[in-house]
Amino acid sequence: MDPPDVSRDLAHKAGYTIALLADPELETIRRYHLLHAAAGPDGHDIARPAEFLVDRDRVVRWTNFTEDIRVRARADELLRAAANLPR
Amino acid sequence: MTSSATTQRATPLWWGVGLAVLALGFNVFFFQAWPGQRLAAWISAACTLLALVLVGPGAVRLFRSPATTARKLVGALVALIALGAIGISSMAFIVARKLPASDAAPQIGQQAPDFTLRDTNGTPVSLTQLLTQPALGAATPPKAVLLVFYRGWW
Repeated sequence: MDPPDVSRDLAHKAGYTIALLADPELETIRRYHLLHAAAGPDGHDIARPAEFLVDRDRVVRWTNFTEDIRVRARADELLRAAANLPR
Repeated sequence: MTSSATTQRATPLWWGVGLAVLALGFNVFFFQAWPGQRLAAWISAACTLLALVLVGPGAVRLFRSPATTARKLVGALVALIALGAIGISSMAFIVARKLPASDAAPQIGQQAPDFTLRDTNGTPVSLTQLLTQPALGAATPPKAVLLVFYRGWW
């Protein structure tokens, strides 16, 4: 939701090499039906937290939709989901 | 009335306070990203509810007892602190779970919609691209891509 330059600073500071993509227009968030209306710090629309593991055929293999914004997927859960993929 | 009887009367209040503080303490699970966060959220809620059940009647009992005014004042202060903690925990639980249903979101076995978004350099990147091009430092395309819709700690 942050503009790209804000994300770039964050990525640089944290040393991330993952693709950090910004969706300021909420277009992809809407396409994935993840809009959480007025939930942002200033009351603007943001995404509900969600994780998807998508395979080469663009098929969803694993999802995580938390029911509590305090409870986020931990790195070990994500890695386990990835490890459970065939090959 | 002996002091032990007074102490006994105040016991539910103290238990309530202890549980209210414990309920708040369980939030450490979230901030430290410890395992068992789902369970921690429910244990915290249970402690909050139990604290509420104990603090109210506990305070009433203390006030009806022949305890000294000083003790009652301390009890009232403690009860107020506990109620504050209970309020914070209850609000956190309710607000944290106010999430839209994700029924229409892509489910396991379904196709993930393609998208194109800008990366931190302003370069457009599509999901298809992420799936078909090797990631930084990799020789082959990945076997899968993990999409994390991240909104910060909010």
